[in-house]
Amino acid sequence: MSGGVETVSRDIGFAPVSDAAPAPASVAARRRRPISWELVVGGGLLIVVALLALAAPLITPIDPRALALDDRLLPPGPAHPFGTDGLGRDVLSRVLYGGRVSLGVGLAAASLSALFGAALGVVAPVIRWLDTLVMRIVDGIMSIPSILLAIALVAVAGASVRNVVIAVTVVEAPRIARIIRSETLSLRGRAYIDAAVTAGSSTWKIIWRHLLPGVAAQLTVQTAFVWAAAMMIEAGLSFIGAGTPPTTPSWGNIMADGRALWQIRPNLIFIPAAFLSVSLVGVNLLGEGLRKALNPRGART
Amino acid sequence: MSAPLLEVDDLRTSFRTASGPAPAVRGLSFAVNAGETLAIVGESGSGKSVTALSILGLLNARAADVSGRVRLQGKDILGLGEPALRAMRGAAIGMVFQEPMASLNPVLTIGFQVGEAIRLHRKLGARAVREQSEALLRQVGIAAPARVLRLYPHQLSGGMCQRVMIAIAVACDPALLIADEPTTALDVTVQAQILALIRSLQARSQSGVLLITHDLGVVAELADRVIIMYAGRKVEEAEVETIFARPRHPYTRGLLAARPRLGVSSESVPSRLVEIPGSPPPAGADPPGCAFLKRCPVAITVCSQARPPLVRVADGHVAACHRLEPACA
Repeated sequence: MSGGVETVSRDIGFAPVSDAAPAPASVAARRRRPISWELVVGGGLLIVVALLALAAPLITPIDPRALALDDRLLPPGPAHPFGTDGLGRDVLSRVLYGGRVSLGVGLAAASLSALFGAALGVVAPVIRWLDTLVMRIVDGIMSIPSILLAIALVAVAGASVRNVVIAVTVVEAPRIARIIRSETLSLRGRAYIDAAVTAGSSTWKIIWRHLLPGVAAQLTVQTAFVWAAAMMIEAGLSFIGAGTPPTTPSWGNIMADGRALWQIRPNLIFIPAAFLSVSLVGVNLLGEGLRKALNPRGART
Repeated sequence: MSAPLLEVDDLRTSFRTASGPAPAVRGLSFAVNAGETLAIVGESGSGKSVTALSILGLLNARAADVSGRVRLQGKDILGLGEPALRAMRGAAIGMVFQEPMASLNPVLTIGFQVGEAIRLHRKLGARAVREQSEALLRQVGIAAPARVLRLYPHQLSGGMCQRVMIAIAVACDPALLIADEPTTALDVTVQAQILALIRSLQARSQSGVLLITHDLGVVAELADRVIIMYAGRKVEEAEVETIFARPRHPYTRGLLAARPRLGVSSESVPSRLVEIPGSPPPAGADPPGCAFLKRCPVAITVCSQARPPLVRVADGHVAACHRLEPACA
């Protein structure tokens, strides 16, 4: 506070104890934590696969749906780098265009799950009667194996990309809601929430200003993991014919098409499977890297 | 004399638990005048913090039943609905919490949080809010307010955080400031600074202060009047000098004797900290006699049969004990 004290302490060789902040340089150093390898590798894999899917028209001029009955079941070669399937369609082209559906369905379902899951998970514990209601419904949904529930939903609503997204959201949103709710419950007991209430903040203001930013890190990480789960469910649904309709290529139904012929042409299964696996590894690593980077425990010390 | 700023009459707060109601405050009455500091002293679980939360209506949502009357500037505030409570919190009553570091949101800047306290109750432009935030920080003794406003709580020391919390609490010039153990989490030297700050703010604004603490040193430093609470009830109330000079309730005397002091027993015996033996009765239990009975050094038969009433022992001095006669004082 007083300049005198500081001068004295400096004279006797102590570092002057300032009541204020540490030097900006040290703050910057503490904030800039090393980026984890998971983030780099996961993000890198995902960007490569996504770029391939997006740049499909530039990479191959062949229409993924064009039938060429004379060129059925060709092995990989110069004209068709990954060969052709039982109807003579170019596997490279199908896998690249299929990536748009698989990655896109996963991302859309993950985003919607994050939206609904976060809304329910943050608001419910603040309003007590709603909490009981929402959490019982969540328990009910989570008690059904997710792939079965998704099959049932698509069976009722009809197989389309939109319905697959909705089905995956119904399956995955409860998981996010549950995790975000427990985060919210732990935040709600913090002193700064009480302090905000005593300052006159309304419930909605507290949800918006204090609770949502508090769960944002966890939500980001969970969204990445749900993205991976959604791609798995989409592939599973499409593989058994209850997902993306066969007219639209996705990694799941490309594998389904190749199922009967895999002993003759293993590439029909292995190529889409490899793309799916690489994407799943990428998304999961990304989620793991985000978890490390955003861990509030690491950030607060 | 005009009506007191805050009047609490027969406040009863009890928590609903699986094993029945657990009363925390059992009929507490007191008043705080403008410009006065009233300290509520008691050990953990005596109901002192619950009293503050009840006044602010913070327990409404938390499985607690609050009854009695709480009037602020003549207006009953216990039955208010949530919107009216919100308008009152921060504007008419400011609150300073025990743990300054935990009371600020770690992901928002100081500037945002101080500004929020202003914006919640006043419609001001962004610039006016910033200017007022700076003025507030200067008022609580922060030397470089413009810079501190841009920082995050983890970049400040505990003492600085508590200064910021006080700035937030007094942002809208509340008539009543509730300070719940404002210095407990701070270093001794910083404690003295914070106490001096609360005193100077109070002298300037003539607001009433309700100080909740277990630290008799803080009481001596800051309070005008003191209430000693035990097991949810007031057992003694007096001017601060009287409490220290002529305590009448055995519990108050026990508290005073239990203060650690330097150099008192320097002769030959190594000094040992004095304690009050035993522990307070559990929350649910309410035997017919005096709640302090089991720990009381001067208890007699009647103490286990009837609860001692609060009686006036001198001007502005009341105590609840069957053995107030001078012989045992």
